[in-house]
Amino acid sequence: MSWRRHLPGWLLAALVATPVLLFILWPIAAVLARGFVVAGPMPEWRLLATTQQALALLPEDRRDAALARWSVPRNAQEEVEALATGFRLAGITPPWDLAAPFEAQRAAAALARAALPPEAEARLAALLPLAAVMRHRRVALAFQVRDQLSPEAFEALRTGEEWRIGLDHYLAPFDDPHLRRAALNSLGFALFACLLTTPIAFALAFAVNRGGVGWPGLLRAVTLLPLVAPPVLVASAIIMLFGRRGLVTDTLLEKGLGLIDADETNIYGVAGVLLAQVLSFVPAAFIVLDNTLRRQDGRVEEAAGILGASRARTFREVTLPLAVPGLKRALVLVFILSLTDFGNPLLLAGRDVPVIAAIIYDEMTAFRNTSLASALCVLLLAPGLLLHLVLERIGRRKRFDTGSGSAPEAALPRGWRRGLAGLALLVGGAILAVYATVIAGAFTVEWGIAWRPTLEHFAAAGTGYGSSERGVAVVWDSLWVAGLAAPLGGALGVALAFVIERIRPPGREALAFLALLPAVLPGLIFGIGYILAFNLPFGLESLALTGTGAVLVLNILFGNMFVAVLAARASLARMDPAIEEAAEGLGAGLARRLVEVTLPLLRGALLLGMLYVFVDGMTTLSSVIFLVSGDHKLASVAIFNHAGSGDFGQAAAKSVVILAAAGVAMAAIWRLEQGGGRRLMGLR
Amino acid sequence: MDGVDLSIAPGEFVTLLGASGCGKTTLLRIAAGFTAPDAGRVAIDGADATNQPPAARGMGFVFQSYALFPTKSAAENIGFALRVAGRSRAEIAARVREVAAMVAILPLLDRYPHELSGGQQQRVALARAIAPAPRMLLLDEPLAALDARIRHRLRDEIRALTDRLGMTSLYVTHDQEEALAISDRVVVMRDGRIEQAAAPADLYLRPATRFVAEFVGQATLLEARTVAGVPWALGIAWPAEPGLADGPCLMVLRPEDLAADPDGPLRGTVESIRFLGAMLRVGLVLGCGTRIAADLPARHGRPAPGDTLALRPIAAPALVPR
Repeated sequence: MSWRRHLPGWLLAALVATPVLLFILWPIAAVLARGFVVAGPMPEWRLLATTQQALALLPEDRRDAALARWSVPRNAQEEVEALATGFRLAGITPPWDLAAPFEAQRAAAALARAALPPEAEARLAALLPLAAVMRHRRVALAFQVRDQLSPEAFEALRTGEEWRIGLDHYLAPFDDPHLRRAALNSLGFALFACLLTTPIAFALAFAVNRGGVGWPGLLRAVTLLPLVAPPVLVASAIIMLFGRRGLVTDTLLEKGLGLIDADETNIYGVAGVLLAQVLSFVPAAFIVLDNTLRRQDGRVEEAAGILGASRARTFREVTLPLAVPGLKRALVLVFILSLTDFGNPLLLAGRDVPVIAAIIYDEMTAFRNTSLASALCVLLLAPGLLLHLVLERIGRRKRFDTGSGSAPEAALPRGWRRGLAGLALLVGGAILAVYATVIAGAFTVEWGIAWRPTLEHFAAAGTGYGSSERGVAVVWDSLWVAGLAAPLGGALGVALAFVIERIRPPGREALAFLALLPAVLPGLIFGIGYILAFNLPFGLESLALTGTGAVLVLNILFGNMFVAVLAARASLARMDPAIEEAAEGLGAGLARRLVEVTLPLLRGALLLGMLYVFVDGMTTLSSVIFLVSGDHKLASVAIFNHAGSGDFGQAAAKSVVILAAAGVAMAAIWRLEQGGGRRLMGLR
Repeated sequence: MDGVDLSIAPGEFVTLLGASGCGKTTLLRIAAGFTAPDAGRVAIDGADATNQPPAARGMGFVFQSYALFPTKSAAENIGFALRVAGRSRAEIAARVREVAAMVAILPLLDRYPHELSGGQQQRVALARAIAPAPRMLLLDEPLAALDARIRHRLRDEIRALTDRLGMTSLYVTHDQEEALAISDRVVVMRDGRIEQAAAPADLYLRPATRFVAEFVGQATLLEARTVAGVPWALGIAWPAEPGLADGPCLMVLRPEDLAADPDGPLRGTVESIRFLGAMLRVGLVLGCGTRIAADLPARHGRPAPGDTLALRPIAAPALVPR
């Protein structure tokens, strides 16, 4: 009767596996596949075959009449074009200048035709009507046979274009000079961003973990602050401070001191993008390096000290080599973050310094060229992967581990402490300045022009272009979407973890990998995947999700579910399965075991997972930017649009409300877990 | 840490013994210079060293977690101090082989720490500490992470090594058996104070305080009273060393202080029997309800639970102030 005992488990496994396949695997697979789909004009031989097939569909008498009618050219242009096509179809290169005026071409073509040998002239005469129809009357033909054609075949005949499988989009950055320039820019930004960010983050992590500053907890908190940040927060603040109407550049240096012309001297350009990227990515790199240094046993450094090594030597020979794996991870992480960042380059460099991620954005929003966008997305993965592999090759030793332990007690030399404290003040000050600027901007009539305080940016929408995004009402939409996604994502993540750890169906590791995939892939891919997968699922319009609020909820839910999965798996791995077996032995069924025994132990994981989905849902930009629609907007996308059009008051007001909402959510979860707060933290 | 005053003679092997949190590791780290004392001073060879950095004190330190450099081989670990001091390659190589031979790890010199067992790692850590020929060796629970058999072997080897090098040593452990086995002098610590500092035998036979009596070895503490130089407990007079002051005290009754004797004055019912090899540890309930234990030779018959047994004191139990 063992199948009976296992049946509920298998049902649960199927229940959670299905949405993961549907809403994670399918969209990502769709992006991978879409990059190979190339649309383009058919070659003439394909066009001829398509035209002939369509003509064959006409009844014979109508076909002859139509051919006779259609083969009469309407003007000189049609006549020489049909002739040229006929020559090519007959296998003869037209021997006249195809760029000459049509009247001249007509005369030259007549001469050339007269000079043809008789059997070639016969071939040409037979093909000419077909050439004429194929070049100029395909639309008429298409409508004549429309009922007999599939919609795709009708479109192909009408437009003369077709889909095919090809590497064209993948090769585009190597052919197209604009894309090539953008690719080099992207790589350049990524390289400089990771080479600048990683040392700064490492110095901060070192200061926090080795007594470099007197207030390590505060520095850690401030450094991690931008993890909860509305989109383009840093870029907006930089423009508000150093842009053409910037507080520092315009108000202070130009109007106040008359030192510079802010229209000429400002932060826009490569330096601005790098500054914004470094400030935006320091927290992510800091998390990695903070973990690395915190887990090092300080006794090892003490050992070097008592054996006579100076602090510098200890750092060089002990601390740094042990941090190498963390440094590699931070480098790759920042490299990928920079490569897939389109907000900062678009706002701070515009289209003057094109980058691939911004081109993907343009290809999606302006040109609807999903194929090229998909291919570029996939290509964006390659350099990061390559960097990872190269770094793994360099010094590929075993992962060294000191075991965990407390920090060494010895104080750093005074010079070190001064330097680290200076850096901490600089970076911490910059981060705080970003937040202060945005908060101030939310209450200022027109930043850089009218400094009066106001609440108008929080007021309800007026009328006119873009009015539906004005005011903070759109934040409510975000709250709804994130608020719906959070409990669903948390619950599904915990259920998935339970299935993986306890029911252990075959393929569970693949399932776990899929759940993690959105965390590793750039948000752009996940967003484009949702458009591709759910615009016309299975060709059924009634199943279309794009343009609905549901697609936003699903995207945010599945894009961030991994936190709940990881946290719950960690809890379950620490929890003795014998507890559940004991409950089963006492006669409890799966549902009862879940509710009474297992779930209470997963409370922390559930809350953490919900919080993550919620906060990311409020602030994410890249994965949802293509999914918002007229009826379903999100505040994060509205902020990006405001910032793009220089409307920083509106952007800042929404950012402030988002920050407040995220703060309330974190406080609420913290309250819920109070007493068990340590448990929640222990999951990390 | 409160009122700790400890001096160590050259060549002496002193152990700090106490439960976790008693301050023994802190005291060791103050001696090494890792932790700065809030008050008081550290002197080495009579010279004040309180503000000297660790490296200037000329001490070798062995960590509980070994703290080997994970990215360096065993040889590089052992030679680290010599390399920092700027010795020549040949000199370093020779010294590394010399100390590696002392701790029997010559074949392991090319391995990395993660390729070594716990016991081997601790040998490397020991070699690293003695390689620069420190004037004193500090060892912070060096054997705590090892299993019992290796622990026994290594502790004897450590003592043999320090004897051979004439190395002054300060050793920290929470294992009283280990402390008694290898030390010249054991310092029992409790709540940041020194309870007693004495040779192992004195500590066992003449504990100064109730805490030491309970912490070191097995004992039953009995209410006692000395009258005219004779201690009385459980209603009988006990053998004693001469010169006892009169008054109430606690008697530290060890299992080996009693022997079976049909005419013995202490009668009780056998409650439990534990086989220890050479001895049987017999638990008894006396008529007055007090529970005591006695070690009886295992070869002379075995009492069963419920039997009545008579005992007689054969040694003078220690007495501690109440």
